[in-house]
Amino acid sequence: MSWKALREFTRTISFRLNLWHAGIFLFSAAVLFTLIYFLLGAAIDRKDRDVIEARLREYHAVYENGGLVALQDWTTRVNDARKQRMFFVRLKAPDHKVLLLVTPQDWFDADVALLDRGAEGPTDDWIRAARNTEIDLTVASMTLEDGTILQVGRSSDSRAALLGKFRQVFLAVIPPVLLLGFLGGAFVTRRMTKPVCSIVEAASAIINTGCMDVRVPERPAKDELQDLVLLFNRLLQHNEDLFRALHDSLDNVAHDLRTPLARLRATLEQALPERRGAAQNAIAEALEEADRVETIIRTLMDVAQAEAGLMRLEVEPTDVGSLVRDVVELYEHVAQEKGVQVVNELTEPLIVPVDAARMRQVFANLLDNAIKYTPAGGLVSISARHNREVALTFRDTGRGISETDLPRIWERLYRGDKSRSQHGLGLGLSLVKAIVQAHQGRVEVTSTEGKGTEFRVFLSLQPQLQRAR
Amino acid sequence: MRLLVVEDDKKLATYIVKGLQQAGFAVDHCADGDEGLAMVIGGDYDAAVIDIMLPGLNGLALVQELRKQRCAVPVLLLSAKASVDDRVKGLQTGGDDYLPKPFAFAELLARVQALVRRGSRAIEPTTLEVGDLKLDLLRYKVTRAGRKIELQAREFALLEYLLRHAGRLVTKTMILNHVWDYSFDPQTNVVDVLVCRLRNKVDKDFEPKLIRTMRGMGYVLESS
Repeated sequence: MSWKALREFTRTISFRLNLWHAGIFLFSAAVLFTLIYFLLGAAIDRKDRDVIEARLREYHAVYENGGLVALQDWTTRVNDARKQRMFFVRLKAPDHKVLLLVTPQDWFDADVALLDRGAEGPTDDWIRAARNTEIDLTVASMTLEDGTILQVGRSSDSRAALLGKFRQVFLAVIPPVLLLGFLGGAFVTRRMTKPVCSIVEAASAIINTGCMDVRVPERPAKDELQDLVLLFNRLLQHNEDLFRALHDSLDNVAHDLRTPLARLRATLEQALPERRGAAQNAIAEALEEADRVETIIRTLMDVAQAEAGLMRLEVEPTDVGSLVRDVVELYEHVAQEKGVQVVNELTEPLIVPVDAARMRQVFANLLDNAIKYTPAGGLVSISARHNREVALTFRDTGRGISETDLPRIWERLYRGDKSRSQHGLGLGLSLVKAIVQAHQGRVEVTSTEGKGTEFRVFLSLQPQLQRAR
Repeated sequence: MRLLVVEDDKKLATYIVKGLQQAGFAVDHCADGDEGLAMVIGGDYDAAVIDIMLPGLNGLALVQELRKQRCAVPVLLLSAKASVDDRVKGLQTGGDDYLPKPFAFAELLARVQALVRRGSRAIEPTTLEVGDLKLDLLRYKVTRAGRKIELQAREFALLEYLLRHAGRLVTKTMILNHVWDYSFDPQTNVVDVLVCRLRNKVDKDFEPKLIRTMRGMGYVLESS
């Protein structure tokens, strides 16, 4: 997977949802672990303490009743009865002189020293010291009424070892669980968000191909996403119906205009060779006008189609530089006749996804305008820049467009006062705008009266909406 | 050469039929799609001109049916509809050419002749000649009355096209299509300008004038 694909993937809802899930899961698992960890530690402590405390009270009672001798006797007896010495017992006088010391079989001298090192603090307290990694020593101390200190303790399994094992298990279990959760989550969210993906696919298919009959596949599930899919499909159906109706009515208008025009042309063409002089002139003029009407109808239809989104574009990666060259060549002689110099600054190939025939029409219209409105000795230059989009600039040194006209030049059949004398349709710029917009591009114009005009065509380098997967 | 015209508009039909007859074709006509189908299959036609919007079977369905029945008669489709879609559809269903209405008769004639010629391709000439004007296709040389004439590429292409259609009317649209391969009308008449330049080189200093302008129709090159 390339870096770009990876970045695209990390932008998907499914990925982000999963990441959130994994994060929340990890966080709650950590909280749970900490809680259990401390509760477990406390429980281990509690268990040892309960036993030792009971002993402590027992020895305390014995000592209260019979003093040191009774306690000595008692410890011996208890330990004998239980066959082994399990508890550590020590009685210390207030001056720290040891009055009684019973050490269990499994205790070493070092253990006592270890305890004493920890026993400097308040005496009425607990001491827990780790002898090694497996064994802990727990001792409870109690200061009696006569000032002597009674200590009872025993060894127990290391709390650290127990908790350590717990930690290990946790750390070993969490990553696979997390991975499994992530993969499972990815699978589930992908499945759940599939309708969204298919909606995006359908929408981009419609935008890219212009085929209105694409639908989102429906699933048997009955959830909100399915509702969305159903509604979306209904919307598409509705759109298609409207589209078709619009298309049909445009077709009918065209048909109803073209048919009588065809008849008119036929009549005139038949009559022309049979006449002479003024009549022939009149007929020829009528023929020319008929041609003009036809061009207007065709351009109007094109504008209407493009504006309604009905224009079918055959978008292919095209070198717009070569399109510009074609157009410049087309107007080469016209410009020469008029004494206008045309400079094409596009030297390198510039590949842009466009409908070549339509884009050529756009460039031809812009160049036509530029030459038309530039006086002899003027200059028309065509240049291009591109970063994320391509900007083609048609600049002329013509008379410019007045500020009042400037915002209105794109309107159908609008013609500024000054250009009325010029032969033209007033539809050219509407067509330019409509075609460029049908390509998801845009057009801009700046003009200074008396100095010149600059038209810019911006085209996207990316075919429209390629994100759908 | 026998042609069939299937067109329901009476006026247009008469005009097409008459024109084609004048151009030397034997022409039959019918105004209905179903009848047209039967006639094409039953008759032995060299080409058919078929309107798309017809009573009965429409033009596209007609062509489809023809091709289904393995009938390979070249078909020129006519349509008054708005969109390029029709053109694409027409060519996809098996039409050989497409002409939008309204059209100049010269253009229809040129296309019909191209369709008919398709079957029997004549040997390509290497020089084209009208009067004392000669165009050598191999050496890209043009002479008139023995004098060499220098032409630019487009002027040469235009002259070649006019010579190939010598004696026949050539419309501006036809020139635009063949000399520049453009299918739309530029606003300024580039064709006029090019023809004017060609005239200056080919006709200005010579008699008789060969290129004639037929106002409202187009141009004819002939040595009257």
